[in-house]
Amino acid sequence: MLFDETFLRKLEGLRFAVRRAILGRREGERLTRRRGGSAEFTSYRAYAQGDDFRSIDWNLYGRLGQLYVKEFSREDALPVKLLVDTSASMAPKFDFARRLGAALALVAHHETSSAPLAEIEALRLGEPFAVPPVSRGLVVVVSDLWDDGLRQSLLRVRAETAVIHVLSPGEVEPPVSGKVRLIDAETGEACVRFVGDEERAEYRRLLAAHCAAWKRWCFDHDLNYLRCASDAPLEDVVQVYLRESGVLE
Amino acid sequence: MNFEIPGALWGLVSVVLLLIFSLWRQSAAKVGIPSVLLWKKIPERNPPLRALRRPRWRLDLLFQALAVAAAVAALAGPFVPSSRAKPRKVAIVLDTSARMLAGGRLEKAKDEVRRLCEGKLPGDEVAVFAAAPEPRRLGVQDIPRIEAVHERVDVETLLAAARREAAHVILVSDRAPAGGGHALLLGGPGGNAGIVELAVSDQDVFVRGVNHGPPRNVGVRFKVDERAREETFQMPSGVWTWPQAMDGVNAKRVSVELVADDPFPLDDTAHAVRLGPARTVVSVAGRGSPALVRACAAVSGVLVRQDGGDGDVAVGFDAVPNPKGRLRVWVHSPAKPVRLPVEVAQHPLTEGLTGRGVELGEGGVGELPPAYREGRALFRAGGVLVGVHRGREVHLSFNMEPNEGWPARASFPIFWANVVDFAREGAGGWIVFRTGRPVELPAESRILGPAGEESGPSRIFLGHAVGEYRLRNAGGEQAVTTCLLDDLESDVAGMSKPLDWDPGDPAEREPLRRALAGPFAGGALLFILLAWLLQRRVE
Repeated sequence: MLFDETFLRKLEGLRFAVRRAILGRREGERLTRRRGGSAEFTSYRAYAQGDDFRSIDWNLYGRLGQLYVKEFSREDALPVKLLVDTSASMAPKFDFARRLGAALALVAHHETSSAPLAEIEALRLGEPFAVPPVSRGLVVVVSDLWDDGLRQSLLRVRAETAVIHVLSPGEVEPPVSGKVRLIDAETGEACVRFVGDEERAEYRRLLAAHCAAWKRWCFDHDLNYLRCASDAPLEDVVQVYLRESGVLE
Repeated sequence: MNFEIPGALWGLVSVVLLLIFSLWRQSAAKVGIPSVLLWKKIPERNPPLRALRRPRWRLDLLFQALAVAAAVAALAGPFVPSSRAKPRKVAIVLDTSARMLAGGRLEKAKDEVRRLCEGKLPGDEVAVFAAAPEPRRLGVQDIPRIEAVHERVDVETLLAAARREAAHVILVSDRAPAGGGHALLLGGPGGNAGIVELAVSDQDVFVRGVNHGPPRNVGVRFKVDERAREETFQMPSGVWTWPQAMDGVNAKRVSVELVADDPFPLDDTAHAVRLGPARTVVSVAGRGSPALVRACAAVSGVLVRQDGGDGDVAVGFDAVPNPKGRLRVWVHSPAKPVRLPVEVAQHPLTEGLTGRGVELGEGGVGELPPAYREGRALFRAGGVLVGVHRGREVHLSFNMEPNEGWPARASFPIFWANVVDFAREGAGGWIVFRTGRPVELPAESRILGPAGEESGPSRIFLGHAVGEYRLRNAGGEQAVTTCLLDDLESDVAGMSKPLDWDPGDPAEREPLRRALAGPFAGGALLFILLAWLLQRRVE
């Protein structure tokens, strides 16, 4: 049991906030750019051969003498793709990331019955992680963003994307001092440094710059960016941070 | 907790050295992190000096230090004293000499040993050393089976064997140990009289004895074959002799028995038997020497002829010995005899003379003539040869003057007895069998013991118990009797002294120690293993 009943009820009141119109395959509650048969009028356009006669606005024809058809928006289900980073570097925050992914999957489940909760639960640390080129819907990436190659993958995603940058307390404030041999969890690369106050300050500065660079990059590429700590309460992250950052509403 | 070798604890200094060495080399601690992306951008710099001075405690270093400390402690022999006493190694040497039979002292000694073992040595490792007749190690349970041997026991040999095995040695005897040590002495009754020497020829019998008591009248039973005679004589204190003439040409057995009322009967009888004919003939040529004749004739089974004719031993006194002699002895009178101590070489002809060098030279000696100096040296004086042996010949250069020269010395008859023994093959004539002394027998002889047991054919008979034996060979079967005849054993009066060591005293007992070296060594191995595993895990 990942969540308690109270939290589950709170999740029921949440939904993903989408800035762009969606192109879903199934009808749902989301208005899409695809014209459909919903009751919500969107615009007029000139009649073209093949248009449905029932959509011709005859009143407007009576006043203007030209054929225009009325367009209505179509309500589609939001396709949500949840991508939780499973690389080795996620070890200290993988549990948090998986629970966050599960919470988002439950939110998505309220909009479509095909939410990927089972996929989230089946994730195992150390499995290969990649961002597929999703073309529609919403993509939520939960990662520590230590992989620079991730930028290229995200550029291939045409769907609306939210990037949740998760950092563990150890990454924010490294608990090392003195002469240390730092081993990269993913590549095994070693880096020998003497860690003193100066080095810790420099690290904090570089980390801030690293996060800022990701935030800027996401902004430039129209991605939603959110940074959160893995020791933060999940309820706060879901109900406060994600809502404030516009991922949920 | 105590240590057997506290000085070994100085080895703990090595722990300090280990820490100093560890701080000096201070390898970088390995830390796994999600990414080194940012750290690679931070320039590497040398640690400040204050960081080197600050020890960085690591668990593997702690285990290494504990391993060293435990190993050092194990080497120091840690132990915990126990309330129980440590078992001591105690050896009890029981003198089983013949004289211990006087007054039932051997049984008393056995009782004392039993009491000692049961009362004051419980829990100790006790070994009993006794002679029966060879030195041997026995257990406490063997004490009832220990019996006296009818001869003198060399307790020093037993003591040496006991000292090799045990830290505490107790001698139970009637004579204090020469080398010192704990002793429980059980003195015997004084006043014993006994026979210590018997010499028989066809013409006479010579008996020498000792009387450790006051002068007294003692009866003597003298028996030649079946002819017995008994008389009483006034036995003086100290050494006494009892010479008797007899017609023993055809006799085969002579026995002398003291009718002395003393507690030690083993030395009250002496026997001699005739083993075949008197085969050894000593032929003397040259200048006459009554002392030489007497000395040779005193050896049982020897017939002396003074005409220089054929003989087994041919002696030439300033003359050439008979050439047919199996052993030819030249006696050269030195022109200018000098009195110098004589060095005596080890040789059958010098048996019993090695300690008598001074006495040998007191009679006067001279250098052998140049023509006779080759051969194996027997005697030297002042760096010159005074006696040699080569092949069948013996050359001597001793002053044979009867009153002042060599014949007046005790070494003289000893040497001539050696000459006769060296020349003849097998015993013959009148033989006295003495316990513990080997006798060379005629060929193909067998001995039947007192219980009827028969030994294989042997040329040597060695009896350890006074008693009747039967000798069987080509000459038939005859009875022989072994006698004690020992000056030292006839003096049964020994010292009495209680044990000068109380083994039951708690102060004498060392508390049992529970050694902890094993657990410490095991701990050291465990810490080494843990340190190794820890380092492997980090890697």
